[in-house]
Amino acid sequence: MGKYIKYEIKGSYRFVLGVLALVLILMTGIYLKGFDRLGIIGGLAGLAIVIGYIAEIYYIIDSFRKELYEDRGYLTFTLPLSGKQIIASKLVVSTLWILVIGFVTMGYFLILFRKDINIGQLEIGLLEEFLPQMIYYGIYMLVLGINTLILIYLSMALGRVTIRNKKLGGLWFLIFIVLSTFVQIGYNYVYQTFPHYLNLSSFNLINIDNGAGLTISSGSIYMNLATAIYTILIGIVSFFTTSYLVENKIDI
Amino acid sequence: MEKIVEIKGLTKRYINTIALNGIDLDIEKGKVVGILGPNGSGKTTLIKILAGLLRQSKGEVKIDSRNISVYTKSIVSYLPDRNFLYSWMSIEDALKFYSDFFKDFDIKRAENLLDFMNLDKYLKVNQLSKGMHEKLNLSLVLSRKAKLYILDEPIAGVDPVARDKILDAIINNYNEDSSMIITTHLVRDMENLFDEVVFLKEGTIKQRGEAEKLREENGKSIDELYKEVFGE
Repeated sequence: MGKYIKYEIKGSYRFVLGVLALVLILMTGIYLKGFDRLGIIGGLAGLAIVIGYIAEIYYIIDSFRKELYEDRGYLTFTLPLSGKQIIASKLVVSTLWILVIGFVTMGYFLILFRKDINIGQLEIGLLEEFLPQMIYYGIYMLVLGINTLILIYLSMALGRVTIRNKKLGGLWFLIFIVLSTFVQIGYNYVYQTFPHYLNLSSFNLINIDNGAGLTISSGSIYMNLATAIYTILIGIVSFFTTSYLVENKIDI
Repeated sequence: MEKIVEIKGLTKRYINTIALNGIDLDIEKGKVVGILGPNGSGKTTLIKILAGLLRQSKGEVKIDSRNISVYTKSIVSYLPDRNFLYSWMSIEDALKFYSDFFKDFDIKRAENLLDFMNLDKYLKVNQLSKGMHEKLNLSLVLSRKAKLYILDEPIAGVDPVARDKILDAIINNYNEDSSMIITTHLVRDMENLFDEVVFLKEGTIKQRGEAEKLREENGKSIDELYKEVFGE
């Protein structure tokens, strides 16, 4: 699996570098333009980061589409690798690039706009109170992001199994919308039925009615335990289903 | 004799067509078998099932006594009828890739074959012509010491000079302990390679046998027999 990850990185790093270069140039342009209000700067820089993420997600989807519908699948699916190894490798590399883009762009943002956001003042507050919570929040969002990626792979694999016509390959998106809707309905049901929340700063358990999967109240972040387990289970089931389809059902 | 491929009642159905219809076929170890038939006869479907790219609708397929799986992919060296290498690769990358994934890949043999084919290993895959692609792909596939080689139309669409090179490479690099399945409709160019031939028509086997015996019994070359069977 390590070897496949190596070649996935080798095949995609140029694109990621291109995206990073584009985002950093956009952010530098915004900085040099000399907007004097943090709100505008932050908004535009945030937009640049979102553009970077959209480009990366497009690339991840297009890369898997090419495996399923184009000639490169003849190589990938005749390698002595299991479906689990192929899907896990793709997830690892996609997650790696999402983290790289996130860290580099946020790091560059902080360096570029350090004066405007008065980082000296923020540091004390962040480190003492919010940073640990922000890290847990980041991990939670990352798990949700990975789940969404697996759901995208599952939808594309289902699309390939059910619709052989390459021209109709885009219908995977409809499958994705349907699956996501069901997953979201289940998610809502779970946190309404099991309203037990973990305070991410004190690690106390409390019950919150009318909460959500993640609730922010009085400067603390509360995570619903049942939805956390539900999210992980959905990810595991989607991963094994996608791997099974890739290995046993998809005709290239 | 031991069998490398065992196929029983193999059927492949698509929504409105049957590509393979209840095929039974065994291939013995050490043989070169030609699967012959016109376009649409089911040749590519058959070998894509053997390579693990397609799933059968019905029937049983075993390679080296095992169902199609990660193991069979590790002992089958497959040449598809298209350019399957990743577009970002150089020829050198492709060699390293094969070397990383296939334990039986002989990089020395690959370099010799590239020399023989006059291919520069620093060329990018997406810069190659059809003939160069075919030569590179065949060099990679033949550089494995695989138990079973599967070549899908190895000389289709290439010029006569490249065709001769490819045929020479197959003859010179074929390992007699291995078995080889070659599909083609260019029978005249390839018939001397075959120990056995299988004529496939509309998803069923019309005729099969040892190439030499068929020539003697019918007083015809395999190419002439092919034309008779398929009415060309």
